[in-house]
Amino acid sequence: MIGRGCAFNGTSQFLNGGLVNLGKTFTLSAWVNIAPAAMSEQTIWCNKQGGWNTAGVDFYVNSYQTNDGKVYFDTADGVGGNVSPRTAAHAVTFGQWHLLTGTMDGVNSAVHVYVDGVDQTIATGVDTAFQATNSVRCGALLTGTPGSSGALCFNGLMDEARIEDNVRSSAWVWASWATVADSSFATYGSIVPAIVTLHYQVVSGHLVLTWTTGTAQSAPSVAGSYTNITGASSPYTLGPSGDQQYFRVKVQ
Amino acid sequence: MAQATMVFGLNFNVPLASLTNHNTSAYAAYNQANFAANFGITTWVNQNGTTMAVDPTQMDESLNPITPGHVSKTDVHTLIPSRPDLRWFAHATPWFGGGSHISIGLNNNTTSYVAAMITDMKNRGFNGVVIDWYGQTSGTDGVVQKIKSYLSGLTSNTFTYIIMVDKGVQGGTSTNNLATQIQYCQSQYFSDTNYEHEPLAAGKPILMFFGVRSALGAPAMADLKVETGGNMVWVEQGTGYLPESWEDECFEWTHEYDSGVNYSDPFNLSAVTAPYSTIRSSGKKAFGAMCGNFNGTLTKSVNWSLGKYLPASNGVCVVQRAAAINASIPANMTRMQWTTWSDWEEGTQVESGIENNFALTAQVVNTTNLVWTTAGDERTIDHYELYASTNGVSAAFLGSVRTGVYQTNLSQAGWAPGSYQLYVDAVAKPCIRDHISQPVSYIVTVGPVVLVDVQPLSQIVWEGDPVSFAVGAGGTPPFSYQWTINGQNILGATNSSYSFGALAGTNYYQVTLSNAQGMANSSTGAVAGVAATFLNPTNYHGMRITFSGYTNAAALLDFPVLVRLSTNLPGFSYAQFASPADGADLRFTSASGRELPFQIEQWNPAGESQIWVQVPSLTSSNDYITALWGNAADSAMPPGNTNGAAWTTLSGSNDFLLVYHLSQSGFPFADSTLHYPATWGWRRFRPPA
Repeated sequence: MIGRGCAFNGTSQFLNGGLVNLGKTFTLSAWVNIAPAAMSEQTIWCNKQGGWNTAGVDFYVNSYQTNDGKVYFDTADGVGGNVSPRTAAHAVTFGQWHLLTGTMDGVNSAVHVYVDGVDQTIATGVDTAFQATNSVRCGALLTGTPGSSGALCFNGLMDEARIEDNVRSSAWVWASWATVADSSFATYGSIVPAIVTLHYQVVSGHLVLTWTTGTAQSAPSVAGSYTNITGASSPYTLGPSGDQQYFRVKVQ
Repeated sequence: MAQATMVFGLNFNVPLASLTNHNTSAYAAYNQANFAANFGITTWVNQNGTTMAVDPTQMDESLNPITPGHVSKTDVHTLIPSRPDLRWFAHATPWFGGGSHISIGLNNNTTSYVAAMITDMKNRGFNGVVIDWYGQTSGTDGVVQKIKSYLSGLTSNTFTYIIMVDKGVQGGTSTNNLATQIQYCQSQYFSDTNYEHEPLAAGKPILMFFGVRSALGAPAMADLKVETGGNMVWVEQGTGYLPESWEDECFEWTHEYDSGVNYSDPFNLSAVTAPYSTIRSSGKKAFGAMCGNFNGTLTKSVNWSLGKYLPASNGVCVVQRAAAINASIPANMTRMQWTTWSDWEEGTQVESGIENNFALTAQVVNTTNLVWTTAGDERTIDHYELYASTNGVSAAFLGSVRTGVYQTNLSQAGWAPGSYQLYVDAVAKPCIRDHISQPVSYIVTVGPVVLVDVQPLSQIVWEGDPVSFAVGAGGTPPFSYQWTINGQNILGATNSSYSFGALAGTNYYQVTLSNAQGMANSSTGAVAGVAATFLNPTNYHGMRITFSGYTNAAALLDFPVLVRLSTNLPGFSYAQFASPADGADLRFTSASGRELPFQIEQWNPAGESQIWVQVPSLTSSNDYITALWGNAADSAMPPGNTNGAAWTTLSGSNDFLLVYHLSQSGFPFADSTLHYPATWGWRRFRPPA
């Protein structure tokens, strides 16, 4: 999980993204952690009503009334039923985080379903006349009264839900998983401190010190001992008179 | 004899008539003496229905969307390069053709006119049109209905329209009448997907008013909004009403001089930018205004514009106003309105194009160089285009040259033996008129045998980012190559590919191939380098982040990587930050040092912070970015953290439509692209345990 994420209760909770034109080529994705007890379709992204013969797009986990862990990416034109490319059973383990990604090329009838950045599509096909423009929900169908079983609400945790306006490559999908889940994806180098320069000038008889980072310190002699100047921030103006002082900037 | 479409790389696919039928550059002025057919009207019917005499030498009715002529189609967005995100609207005043207004010889209440008008606007880069609207039974509503119908028939349409209720609305400005009119708009237009909304998708419909507030008063405006449901974004002219609760946004207008021009500021630039501080501090969004001219003398008997004036100055007014706006435009000014598209009565029309009286004279020198001289203000010119024709019917586009360059080497093109006429076309800044030279004779006696089969591609990139061009060659080797920029040879660029860091601004690249038998010229690749910010890493604490785990051969462009910062990193401390509480001084740069857009998803000084950074290119395990922090002199939170820049590409393609980080504990859930925030669901959410 990145940051906070959200818990969906499986019966009444979802997000409404409003009217979205998905176009014919797009990519849907989300990090999900499905509740172990979840049953039936766990809707992730959807712009269609429930039922076998309603127009739109539906990206979800599980076959209807089962918990087989298949990931589906349905398309339909509202006339001839759903076309349902999917993964094999148990592609998703409940109670664990997975990045689920679906890429839709409605121009060339190419669809892919990825789990954790790996293409696991075993059945393909696109109803190219699918409804592209409609309200989009994250976590439920557009069907009926939310709270009823017909909405097929998502049950579990979800994070980083995205819609992209093009067909992402397998390399992009894998990297999207790796940048979150693979600690070897990025190597963090050593920290190079800023080059700190303490500048001074005399303005109207006052000494003005400026520096870019760190804490200003002063001492009565060049050898110290140095102590932080209370409340000093750059630029810092000293009074026109006082004892001889030496200044430096301490950087952690 | 018919001419081949493609001859040695020259594609004769441009109708010459589209370039030369409007040729005015051979003449000192575009006027009745030189273009009698376009002038000559001696009478108009004025606002009161009275026939009035007009100066036939001043009225040009030759150009309208039906016959678009030589108006520049340069994208209006290029006028304000600092804000490519602005949505541009043409303000249309569709009341011509009736008996109560000036007749300019067209009737824009027809379906064909509306289609032509929209097409013309789209070709100039406008995102939409604002219609000055006079009520549901007025002729203006007939135009809006035709616009709605026309747009609904387009596939993948992105062009939108907005209604601006004029104070002259039929039935008057009583609350009851206005409520009726607005309810009509609600029923007819506001749910139309092609109507402009704020935000663009799933937002509220925008309704503009012209002078209605001053007629109605503040309390009545507030009541009217409540009575009509309130689920709209209301926009009135000027900044004076911004403090009033009913107003959601404001718009600026023409800022012409009411009585006499102040020649120390002839384009009234001070008035254009004066409201910006008020707009900026209001926090409410605004429409800016572009206006290229205003001529109240055209309506001699109409008292509302008598004496009003803004000099066009051969198009310089547009250029100067654009520069002033570009320099100081507030971030919350998100739309621009060009005032006006078609108000011929007030001399502000841009559909005909603004005359710049620019002229060119071209000649061939030393048999290989096409050179040209110009007359007029080159600030109004965007670039030059070169054409060739052999039959006087179709022309081949030879390439583009930026302003300030007045020659090109003809030996670089792929000529077949024959006789050609060459033309130089001065393509103007947006909505200003183009001008083309008279033809110049050019005879070629030796032809090439080299063909270019891969061409440079035009692209928009960040300044400093790597760009590569490559071409292939056919024919008899060996081949030699010479790459050029804006027509000038690039020293050492003599291979089949050429890689470089993009320069700021638009530059034009070409390659010339040659062998023992001849030479050929590639098409031109335009590289638009968007100005970028480069940071000096010595002023910051720095840490390189290398994507050593990316070993795929496929290049990923503008890819969002997740960066995790915490004290688990050796030497890292939140105390090193100038703003440790929110990380506002955090920065990221590419390998070239360009500042990168990013979004902080979570900042946690007591633990791990997560940041999404848009990496320009991932191509190997050696690619890296650099995290920078701790510079007190650069510690303001960058706007990219909240404006969606991390999820948007320069080209506008291959973008994210919607990104929910799901970081909120309840509605609304933010969409990091700013397109589709989730404002509702069934119940409030609880954060996970």
